[in-house]
Amino acid sequence: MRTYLIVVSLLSCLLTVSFPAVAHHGTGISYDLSKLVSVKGVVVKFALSNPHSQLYFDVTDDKGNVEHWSAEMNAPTNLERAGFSRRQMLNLFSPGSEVTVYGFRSKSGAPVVVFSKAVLADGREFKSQGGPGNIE
Amino acid sequence: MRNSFMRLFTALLVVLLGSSLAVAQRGRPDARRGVQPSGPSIPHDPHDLAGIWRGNAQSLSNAPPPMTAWGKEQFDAHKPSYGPRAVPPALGNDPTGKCDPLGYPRTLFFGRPFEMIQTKDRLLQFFEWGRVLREIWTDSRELPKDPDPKWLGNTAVGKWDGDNFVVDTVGFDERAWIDHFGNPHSEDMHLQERYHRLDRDTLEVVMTIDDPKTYTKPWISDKLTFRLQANEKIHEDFCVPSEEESFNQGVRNPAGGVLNK
Repeated sequence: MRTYLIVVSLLSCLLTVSFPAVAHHGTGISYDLSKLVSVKGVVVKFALSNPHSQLYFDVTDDKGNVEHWSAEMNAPTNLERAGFSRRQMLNLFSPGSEVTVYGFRSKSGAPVVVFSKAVLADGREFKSQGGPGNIE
Repeated sequence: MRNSFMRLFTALLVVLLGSSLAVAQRGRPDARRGVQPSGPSIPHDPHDLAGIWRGNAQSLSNAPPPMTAWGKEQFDAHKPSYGPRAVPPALGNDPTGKCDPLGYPRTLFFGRPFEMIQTKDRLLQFFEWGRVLREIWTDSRELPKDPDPKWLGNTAVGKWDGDNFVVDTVGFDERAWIDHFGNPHSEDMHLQERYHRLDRDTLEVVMTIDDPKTYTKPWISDKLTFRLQANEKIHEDFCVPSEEESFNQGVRNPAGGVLNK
């Protein structure tokens, strides 16, 4: 177990050192790229805007409190190159859909992530098409 | 069990160190921006630069030459969101954060493809980022003596020197940064680029920046490599100020710890 913890710690350090050097504009410095988090919520809006697309979703806790989250996603050009049309993206992230978003949370603690992956309630997945949020 | 962990660790360490070193050299190992071989090399005309090219260069080299006092003052005033001096964009002043023009040579360092188009009297560089068109005149005109500053440079002229296409540009707007890291230049910058098509798929560029107001000696770049992109086209890729502002309000500012007004 001790060896395992050392391995995890060293890998975390390496990842922390590696990612900021390759970040998008400010992404490496704004997000904690050493820790992947997941958040379950409901899609409010997907914005296919330049130069960054964005996903907005609401997360409700056990007491019914709603927190407004957002995710920084790929540039529309990158999505287009990967074969995703605007219509596909809007259909995938239609308002009201239940979604689990995986990403790296902002260092500020604000409910913002740089996007890695989303899993819809019906099992459909969408992954980051490169960039700092990419985990594959 | 212990040996299994150590084998796993060693393998991962090799992979991660390899990728870190590759990144440290220049650019990042990202398929969207990466240097993608487009096929076996075949005979080519070294004086034909036409095609869509893409590379990973993020600056001329890792370290600029020593700066003058004026240059250092500009450098300190620039708050980039890349590299060792990176601050969250909400706390920085990178011109691209408001979709201001990148200027040149920074446009070349943005990682998006660009097309080289040769005409009778010009070589055109058509950049995907902002769909910017840069004109390099090949009609033997002279560089202006007192050019007004422009984002891409007032005038660029090009001519062949053997198999090198040599481009000289003057008249730069000093609001633009040379690269993502906030390295500055003055209006007096003289930029020379030497383009050399090494083979069908590889374009090498060496830049020299001569700007005595900013640097104590010329800044000569590494050999910057761009690869021919097969089956590619120039997409539409604008920085849209109203959308960038919306992004700043909804994502970038809170992520950077800045509360929106």
